[in-house]
Amino acid sequence: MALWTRQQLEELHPDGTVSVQVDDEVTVMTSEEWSAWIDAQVGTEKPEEGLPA
Amino acid sequence: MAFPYSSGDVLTAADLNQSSGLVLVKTQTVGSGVSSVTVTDAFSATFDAYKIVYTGGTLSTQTDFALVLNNSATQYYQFMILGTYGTSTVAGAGTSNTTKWNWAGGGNPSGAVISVDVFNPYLAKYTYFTNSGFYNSEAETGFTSGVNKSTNSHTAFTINASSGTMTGGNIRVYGYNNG
Repeated sequence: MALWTRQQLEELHPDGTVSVQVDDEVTVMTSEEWSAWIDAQVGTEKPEEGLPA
Repeated sequence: MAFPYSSGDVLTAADLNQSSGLVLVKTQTVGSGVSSVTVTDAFSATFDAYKIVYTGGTLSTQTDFALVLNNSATQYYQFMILGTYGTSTVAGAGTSNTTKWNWAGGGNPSGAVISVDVFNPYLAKYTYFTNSGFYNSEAETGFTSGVNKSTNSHTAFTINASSGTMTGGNIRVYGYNNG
């Protein structure tokens, strides 16, 4: 299985587009929080998409 | 007055209360591009058991959801029996004393779902979980059950996308009527 690269994650989720939500309150991550969130996913497994034929 | 009712019956509040099996406790709409959603005031003394359902949304990438109770950051134990669509091979996966309830649901940009039964979350007892779930890929699915061994009382939970973000849809919390 492929692994997530930082570039893939950053392209999929640019800084300023990722939020956390508590009830109805949605808060955009700061750049620092976003970078840490990206870091936590770099190198993790990238599941395959698609169902068997 | 006992169920079933007949035409012309005058129903009291007590009649209606005992007739509802699953009671909608809370609906939480999910925003756009969120990595996690915390739902407060989900669990209370009114119900011992709950069902958490998420429908109508999507994930930015193929992944699963994790669930965390608000007063327990550790002591999650679970086992999943799973297989791949179109095959008959059974596999398993387990966790021991981790920081979250894995495989609570899952999806991808074409749709996402959660349907988890939670038992005793508000009580000062272990909290037990059961659900169907999704493992690593879109082609894998299974059933998982387990426990959180904290005896803390929980009132809220957080849903995390294991990778990427979730967008749209609603998280609904239902209570199983204690009767």
